[in-house]
Amino acid sequence: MASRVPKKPADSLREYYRGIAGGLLFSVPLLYTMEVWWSGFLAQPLRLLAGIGATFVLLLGYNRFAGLHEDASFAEVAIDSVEELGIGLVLSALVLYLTGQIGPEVPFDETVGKIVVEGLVVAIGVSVGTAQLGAGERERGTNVREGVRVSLTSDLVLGMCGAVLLAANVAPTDEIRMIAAEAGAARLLGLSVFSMALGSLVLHHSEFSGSERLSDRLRFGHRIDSAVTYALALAVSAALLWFFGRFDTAGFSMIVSQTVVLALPAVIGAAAGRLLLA
Amino acid sequence: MIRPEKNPLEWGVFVAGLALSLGTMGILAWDAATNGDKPPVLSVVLGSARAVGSGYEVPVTVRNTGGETAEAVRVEVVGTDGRRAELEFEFVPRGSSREGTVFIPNDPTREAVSARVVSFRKP
Repeated sequence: MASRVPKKPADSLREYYRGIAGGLLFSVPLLYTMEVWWSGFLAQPLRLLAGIGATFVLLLGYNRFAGLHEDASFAEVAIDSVEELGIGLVLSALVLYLTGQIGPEVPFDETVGKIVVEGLVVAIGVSVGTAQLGAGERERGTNVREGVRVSLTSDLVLGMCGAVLLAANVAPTDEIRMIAAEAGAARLLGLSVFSMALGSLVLHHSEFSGSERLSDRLRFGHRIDSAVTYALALAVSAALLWFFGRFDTAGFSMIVSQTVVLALPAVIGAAAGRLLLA
Repeated sequence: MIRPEKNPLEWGVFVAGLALSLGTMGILAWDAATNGDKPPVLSVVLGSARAVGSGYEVPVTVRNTGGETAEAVRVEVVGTDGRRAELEFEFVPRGSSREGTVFIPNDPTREAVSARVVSFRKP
């Protein structure tokens, strides 16, 4: 371990390029959504700080379980996470500038808010992109992934990353609030059952790549596993809605309804994340 | 702890990323400490008028010096003859200002024109 050789700069450059591609692949819808720009100045600074903290923990988790080789030390995992957060913020600032959302005429607070809100999801995309989009490295064996550490924690972290990547793109939009307000309880119940079925379908009935590995490590039956995935999706969905200020003036039933509405994309992301992101 | 092996490029990206992340968090923490949850405080300033066609255009600037963003800010501009013009700003974020223009028929350089914020929403 002590004798590990550093990568050539050209190799790490390629890794950064992959990260940039991945970051934008997952987050470009977010960068092009005005409700997200707004939440940059609507969100209180403490909430943005909480968002940075949560994102960093997710990055640490993802790099620990999927991004780096198995025996990576905590320092290596932390260093990579910081790099990805930085790349996320820079990419977000660049795209926001090119699309005219920040610039010399935009006040400082507003600029920072927008960059942070967008940059967080970009950073998770960068992390996933760096680890997932590379083809050569697995063959060269520098990235040992076959013996991925499988544990409940790794499943939870990968599921959360997938759920965030998919659900963050629609979480701040008005459509979520609209559906929650207009669909009615019976439909929402149906949506919830459908979401759970979708999760189960992705995880256990479609032979997605990775599902074989998954069934080897299941400690519960399929049904409980799907229910746990749905619970994870609900939790991620609620956290995202809180972050984007959707709970600020909402009553209890609107909080529940919005969470259920957003849990549909979240559960697809969570299920796919558990299978594909490892 | 074993020192992780990194090439200079990676160290560079790491140091830049660290500075950027910590800097951002510092700004946010400072912002939270100084602004808190103060409600929006809005003020309107009229710029100097310019003659166009049969009337005049008057630039309007709304500034929010409070700690929260104001949504749907409606501003009313009234001349001495009672004629009024109104404009609405979708958002005026905290610490920000937004600009617009109203058109009025009478000459604002000779007659008194006043402006006020009529209403805003909490987002």
